[in-house]
Amino acid sequence: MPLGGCSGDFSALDPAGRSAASIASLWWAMLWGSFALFALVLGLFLAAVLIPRFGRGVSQKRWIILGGLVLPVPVLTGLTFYAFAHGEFLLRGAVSETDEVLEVRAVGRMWQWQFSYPSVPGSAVHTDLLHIPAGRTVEIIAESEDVIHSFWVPRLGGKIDAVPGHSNRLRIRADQPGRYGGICSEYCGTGHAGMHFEVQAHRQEDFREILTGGLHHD
Amino acid sequence: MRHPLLLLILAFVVWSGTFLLVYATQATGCSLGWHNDEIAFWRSPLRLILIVLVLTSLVAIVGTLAWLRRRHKPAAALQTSSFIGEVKTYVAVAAIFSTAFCFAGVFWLTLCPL
Amino acid sequence: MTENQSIHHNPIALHKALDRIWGTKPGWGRLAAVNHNVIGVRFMLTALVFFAIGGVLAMLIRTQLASSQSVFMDAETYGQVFTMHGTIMMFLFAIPFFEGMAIYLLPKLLGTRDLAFPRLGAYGYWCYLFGGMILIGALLAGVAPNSGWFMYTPLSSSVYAPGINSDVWLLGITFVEISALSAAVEIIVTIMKIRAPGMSLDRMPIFAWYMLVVATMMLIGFPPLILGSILLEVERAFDLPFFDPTRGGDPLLWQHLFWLFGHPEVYIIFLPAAGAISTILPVLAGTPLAGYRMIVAAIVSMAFLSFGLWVHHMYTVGIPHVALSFFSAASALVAIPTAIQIFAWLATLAHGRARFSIPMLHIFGFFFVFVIGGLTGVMLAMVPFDWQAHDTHFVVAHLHYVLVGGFIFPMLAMAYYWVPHLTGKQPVQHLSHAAFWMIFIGFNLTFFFMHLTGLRGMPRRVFEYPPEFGWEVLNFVSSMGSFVMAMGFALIALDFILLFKFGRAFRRNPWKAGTLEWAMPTPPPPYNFASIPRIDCRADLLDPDVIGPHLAAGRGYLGIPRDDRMEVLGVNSVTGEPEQLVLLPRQTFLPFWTAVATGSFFLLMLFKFYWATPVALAAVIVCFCLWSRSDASSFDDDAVPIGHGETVPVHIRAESPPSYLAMVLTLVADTTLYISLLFGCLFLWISAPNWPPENLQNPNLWLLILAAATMSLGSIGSRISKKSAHMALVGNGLAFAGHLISTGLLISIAFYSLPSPSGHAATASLFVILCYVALHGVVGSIFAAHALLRALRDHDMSVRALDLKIGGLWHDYSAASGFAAVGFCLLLDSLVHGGGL
Repeated sequence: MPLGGCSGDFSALDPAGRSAASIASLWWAMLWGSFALFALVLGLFLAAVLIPRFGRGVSQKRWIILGGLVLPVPVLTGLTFYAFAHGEFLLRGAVSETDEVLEVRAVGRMWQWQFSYPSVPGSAVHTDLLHIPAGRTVEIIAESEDVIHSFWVPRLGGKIDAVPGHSNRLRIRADQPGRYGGICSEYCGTGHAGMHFEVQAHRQEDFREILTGGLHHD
Repeated sequence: MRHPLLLLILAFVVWSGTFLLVYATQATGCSLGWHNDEIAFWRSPLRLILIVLVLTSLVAIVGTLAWLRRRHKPAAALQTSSFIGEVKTYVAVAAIFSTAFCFAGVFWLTLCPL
Repeated sequence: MTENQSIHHNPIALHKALDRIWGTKPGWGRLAAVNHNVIGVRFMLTALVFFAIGGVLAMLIRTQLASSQSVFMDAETYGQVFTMHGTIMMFLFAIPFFEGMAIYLLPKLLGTRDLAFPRLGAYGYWCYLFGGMILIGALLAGVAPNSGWFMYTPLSSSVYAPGINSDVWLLGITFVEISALSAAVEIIVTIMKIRAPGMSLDRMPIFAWYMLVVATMMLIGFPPLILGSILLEVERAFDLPFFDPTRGGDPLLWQHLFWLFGHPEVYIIFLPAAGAISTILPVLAGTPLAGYRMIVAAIVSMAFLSFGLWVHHMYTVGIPHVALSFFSAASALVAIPTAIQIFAWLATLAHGRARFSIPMLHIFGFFFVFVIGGLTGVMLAMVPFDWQAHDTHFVVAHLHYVLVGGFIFPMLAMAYYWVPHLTGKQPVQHLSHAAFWMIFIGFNLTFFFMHLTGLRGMPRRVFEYPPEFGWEVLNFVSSMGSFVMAMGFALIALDFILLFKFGRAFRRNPWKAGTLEWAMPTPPPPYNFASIPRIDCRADLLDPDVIGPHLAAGRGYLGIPRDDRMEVLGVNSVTGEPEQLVLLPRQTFLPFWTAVATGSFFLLMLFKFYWATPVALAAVIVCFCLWSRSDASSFDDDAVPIGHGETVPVHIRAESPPSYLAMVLTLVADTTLYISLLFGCLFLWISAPNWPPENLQNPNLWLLILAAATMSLGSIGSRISKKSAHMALVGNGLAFAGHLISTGLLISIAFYSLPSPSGHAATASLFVILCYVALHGVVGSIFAAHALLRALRDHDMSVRALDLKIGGLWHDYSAASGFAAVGFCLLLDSLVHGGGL
């Protein structure tokens, strides 16, 4: 398969896993809500300026209480608490039951990623290429050897910073086998722009063999 | 320290103190292993401490509002003191709502790094 | 008295007399300017020059990104360009510009002649100019900062950035921030104390409320940044490992300190603009501002909430979810005070009859752009969404919507509204419409689709991208839009040049406003008001057409110039009743020379001539000591007539003079810095790897307690000295000796009793804390020496006790900081050795 296989493959709006999909639907909901609120505020502004006597029947205090409290308080409360629950869902790896999670160490350094699999004996260390099983939650343990980097595979889930001296965890998941683009999203020096990597999601039954070199994976 | 402007911000000063205290306690608790994720989440000692802290400061801010309203006596010109009294009440109510809203997460969200 | 008779009620004679006293002298005398009109305009013009430079850098960025794999710039150049674009726009344009606007406008809106500390304003300006020149010099020399405008460590540490680049940022920006802190103190004191009589808190123009809140936020918000910069510079220069994870430091400490400043900063920039809208919009709508009290409550709440959301820049650094939830909730909440203001403006418009003038067009631009920025802000406040959008072009789009919407459009509205005041001319308005639409359309073209670019995966700060990633069309659209926007700004510049050249003169109050700045001739004379008004209703509902001539004829307070003194009235901060006659210092070169001395310190640090820095510091101290000499302290009457049959004492004999409040505020900022330092060190214990240190020897505790105890002699001594003339000598001598001994002890502990501070961040923390207290001892001994000299010179200290009271505050604070250091050492010791609590 040519390398161009992952072209345009960085879109968070084209999710390929449950984590990314749930965030994408949150985005679409917020987008339509924002359109409505924007239209409302701008509509009121234009009406108040252009239409004589518009809105004069409503007292000033009422204007402020309706628009400044009654409108935003329920919207923000609903959104914020939904987002809390959503965050918990993502922290669990976008699965409701605690099923088995595969741990992967992702070590960032100027300017490449090295992936290793502590729980898979005999697995090789891969540079800029991450193999994961499809349909299973993967926990990335992000670490750094030099400056701060950030591990991000937009189609599979959120991002996590690799901070020197810390190891941070992020759960991602690919629903289907395939190739997904990954990128470093924290500025890490002159090589930052070129710090891409590729994620290959394999069928569960092929995964272990690919890792231990039993199956050719090109 | 009885300047009206200081009384005006008093409720939010309590909010700020709560913020500092709750965040510091949470981080310290995780560092010292008070969260104890072996047992059910609501029995974690860190969570209990945080809940107590949040509820206490909520009571403290409500108390602040009550105290502000009781001790409010027109000292300066009537208009100035009515102005300060009204703004003070708005700010205190905002602080109470903010306390309840900002720290509600201590009841169920993940306490410490995975 | 015949001179006074001729001046009486004769506007022209009065103008000549006042202009001679208040005016800035020509030629070299310009460097001695202290007048707020001059300083304010200088701030704004300098900021505009920096805006132009930052804008050119933005064009370079957009040129580079217009196509994939562009060969226009290499990665290193691009790093410097985007770092400097952000740095210049934030630190050298936005903040100084509104400072200049506040410096220019506040005394006029408050109905007085100048700010509380004209020399401080001048000093701040020179610090800003010199600091900005260091940064621009580095840009021209090709050694500009290159780690992004928030300078994340370790990328900006000496290991990964060995050049001078990061030092330029840390030292240059800290130098510039002196002007922000001095402006904060000056603005607060002016609003609290230097107003027109009768202007009680509830009658202040709404802009004064906004600036009071903003200045207070600056006072609390800037110290963490200054502390962070000092610590990082100390790490780079002397290898004290605060941010180095291999030696017990933590890169996250920098992020916390930076964003603890960085997020309030956004509101610090937005609120002055909102204040301008709250002032202009009611005038354009022809009706008073709706919900004055609710707006005051909203901006006070906003100020606090804005300090509780800095971690929303750090959702992806591995902080636990419950902690993120506090910041996420606060980030969502802060939208409510914003909504209250927006609907207060809508209510004002609905109840008035709006004129669709040029300022109103820009206010429309503000509503359109800022509301989008606010909505995307709420989206980013939600943790799950931010995990996707963080550090992508979505954030770039969002922050430009907020800052351009929340600052640039309001500032343009403000410019079209107030430039007639500044120049005395009205615009010709041929280019204004076209310029607005070009900026508006260009801006939205640039940044609206950039949201999508980010969501399609393009991270920030990449200088190239492979064509197959599918970001090229979107970037090309953004780049085209940005060129349209740039042309719009060029048209705005041309429009104002035309205004200066061909503008039409007008009589008074062209907008039919109700605020005091229009009750004066335009362009304004250096003294603003020939006499000071008495205010008997809210100060945005006045009639300048009536008040103006009345004041010009000298019928208000202080209508007769006396002995070439610059006089303003100090009032009770709540009721606005006159309390004191404040004598302002005359024009002087001291601020300029002090800034030169300060600048030499920063340059010596920058070029690593550390051995010479004590000389520069001594020069700074000598300069500041000279400030106190030229004080107007020779004149101290208890009852000076101020007109209308009223008398007040001169400020040095008054109950609460402005400089006393200024000292309190300075100590508030100082305390914030100290608390940030102590919390920062505790944060390292919690978060940093490689803790506890292998051999943390605590400093000799008894020696430390002895140092704190001797430090408190300053506090005791200053109390004793108040008892009698005789005791003044004893008390101040005691204070002086106490400070000196304590400083000596602290320095000996720091340098001899502690293990090498470069070994571990814990030792480095203790070292810096000791140095902090020792520095207070040095300054305290200078205060004590000054008091001692006065006690030797004149005996009656009780009358003009102002400088002694100020010194007393310092002595108390340094004693407290000494004991806090002891407490901190004990705490750290028990945490490290006790293996927890």
